[in-house]
Amino acid sequence: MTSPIEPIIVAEHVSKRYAQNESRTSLRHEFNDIAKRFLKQSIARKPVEPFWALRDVSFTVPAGQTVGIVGRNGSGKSTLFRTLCGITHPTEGHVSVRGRFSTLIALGAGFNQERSGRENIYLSAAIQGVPPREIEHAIHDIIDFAELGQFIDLPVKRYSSGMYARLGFSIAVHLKPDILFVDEILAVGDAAFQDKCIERILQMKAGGLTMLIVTHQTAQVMRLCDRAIWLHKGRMMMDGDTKVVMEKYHQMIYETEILPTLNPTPEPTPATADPVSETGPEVQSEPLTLSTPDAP
Amino acid sequence: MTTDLDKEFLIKSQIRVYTLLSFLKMLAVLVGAMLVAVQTRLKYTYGKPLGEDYQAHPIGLYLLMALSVVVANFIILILVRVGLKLTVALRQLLILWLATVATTGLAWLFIPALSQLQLAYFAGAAVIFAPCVTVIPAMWKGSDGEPISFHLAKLWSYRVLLLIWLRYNILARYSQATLGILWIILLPLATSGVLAFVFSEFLRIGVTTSDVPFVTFFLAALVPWTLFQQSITKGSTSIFNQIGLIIQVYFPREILILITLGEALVDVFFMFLAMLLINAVSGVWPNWFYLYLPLLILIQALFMLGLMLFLGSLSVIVRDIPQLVGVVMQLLFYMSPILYPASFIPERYRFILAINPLVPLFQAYRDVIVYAKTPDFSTLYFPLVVSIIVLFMGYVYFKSKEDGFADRL
Repeated sequence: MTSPIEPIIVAEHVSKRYAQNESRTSLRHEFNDIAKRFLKQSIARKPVEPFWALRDVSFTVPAGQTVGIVGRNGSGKSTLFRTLCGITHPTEGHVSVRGRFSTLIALGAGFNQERSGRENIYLSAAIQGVPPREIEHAIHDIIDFAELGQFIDLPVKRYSSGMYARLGFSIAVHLKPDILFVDEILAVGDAAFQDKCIERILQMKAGGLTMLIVTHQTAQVMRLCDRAIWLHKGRMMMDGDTKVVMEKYHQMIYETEILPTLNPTPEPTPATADPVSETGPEVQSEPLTLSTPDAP
Repeated sequence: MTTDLDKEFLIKSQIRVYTLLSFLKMLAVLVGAMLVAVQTRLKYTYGKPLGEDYQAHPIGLYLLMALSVVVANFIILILVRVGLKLTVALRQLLILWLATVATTGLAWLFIPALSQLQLAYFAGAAVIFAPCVTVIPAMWKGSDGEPISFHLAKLWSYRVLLLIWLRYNILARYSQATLGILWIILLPLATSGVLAFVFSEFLRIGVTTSDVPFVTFFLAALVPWTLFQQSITKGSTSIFNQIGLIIQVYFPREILILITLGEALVDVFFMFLAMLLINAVSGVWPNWFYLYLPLLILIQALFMLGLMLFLGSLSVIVRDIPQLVGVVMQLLFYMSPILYPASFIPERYRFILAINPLVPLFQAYRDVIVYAKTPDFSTLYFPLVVSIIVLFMGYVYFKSKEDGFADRL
């Protein structure tokens, strides 16, 4: 930590677009499309609605900082992670991540079900780019941390889901990463193991590890993060001190989500009827009659 | 992950090598075209009969080729200096086509003994090959647009993963059953035994193989065919069978294809052992010419790898590909001389053999395994050249689509 100002993660104007038609991946759909176009006598393709999962997101993370990424479901958090990990490339903009990173996203991804836990440690490490000789000395620590004991030589298909995830977590934190991407850590194991995980993460944080954390649990963000980034519909709403961002975030959620359900004003009634009206005229009358006794 | 500084350094050091590499690449394309032309001229009986002492490709021909490439490079360089705006790929394509014309012309002038038909074949092949290695791959450049050497270096850094993964997959496959290691040999023995029995005793429709047992004759082509079929069939599904992993962890995706190829090679190795057993029962023993087999397998592996990379990435976009592959494999089995010798095909259908690179390969396998002789290397030019081009194009295509795998799955 000689130069804490030096950014280790840089995202510059990152945008990620998913074209809606990309989900159509079979020849049948292609033929349908061609046939329709032929019948309609028009060469122009249907206008494709692009979906921007990320829109112009820029930030830098200096080494040693822990950043929480908050936002509602579908706000682009996972897409941002995938972009930073190199799983997908941004449509626009540029990301650069310096140093070895490890992910706590896919616990046990790539495990070979038929082989033992011990062998899967090597496999999982290799998938994340760490050769066996570098993980050799940490084997005992990994097994101890995962609390697997003699079960380590059983095929992982016999493991309970808790054992599976514990082993995955244990491997990821023992790979000596410079950067750790964490997605919902508290989904692992029982309460005791979860505490241990948090403890371990705090320990690594003290050791100078840079972390990016996605979680829906405010308490975790407050406890672990130095800084928070709030994403909403792919755009960056706020970036700054954890407390300030979380306050604003909850205020927004309260105002847009919870408040309307608590005291329904006369305005929301047509608003809730709106999506129904699109489905058909005979359905439309039903919610209108139901809502009238509620209004006063 | 490489930093920008690393990349800058790489680019600087590569620039000097780049000129040499692009020269070698162009020369390789022309040499490949010439080899294909030589094989076509020698093996298929069109044109005037050639004398016994016919020099198909004297060394002077290759010198002319190198000269043409240099001259073509200079011409294009001058045109670019003058102000002609060309992309790198287009520039290379033009250089190649110019060099093709120059080589053909020079050879026609200075090596009069050379068959003109062969030169025509050469020009045709070179004109077709040129866009395959220049313009078409350039159209496929992915969003990161890194050069192939960058991807290969990355793949090399993941070599340990490849080895570990392959080892565990193979061990996992054979360790669960009770009979264990015995299955490895029993299953292929049963399969090839039944196939051999049915085709040699029941379905033997006028196939005479003179003095060798039909079983041996049949198996010598069936085993490499099985390798081909298994690799392609499994390779076309190997990417989207690993959706869970692909959307969660980054690693060079071609590792999945390489593992599939490795597994198929191991599986077929045991089938090969079973074949040796059946052959021994029929009185045919292994011979020293088996030492040529690695070369044949290498050519076949290059070809398969190219197709697997191409089909594996294409099937992510078009999900019907595996079904299509199944149908094509069925057709290809009967269209290839596996059940019958190549000489059974009537003269007017011989062009089918000329475009199927598996045919000369199967013939070479038979030469080694059945007839215990050196394979005719001039028939392997075509499979070799086609394999390298297919592999190159397949890899570039795969890498250009790789980025989209996680988005489309």
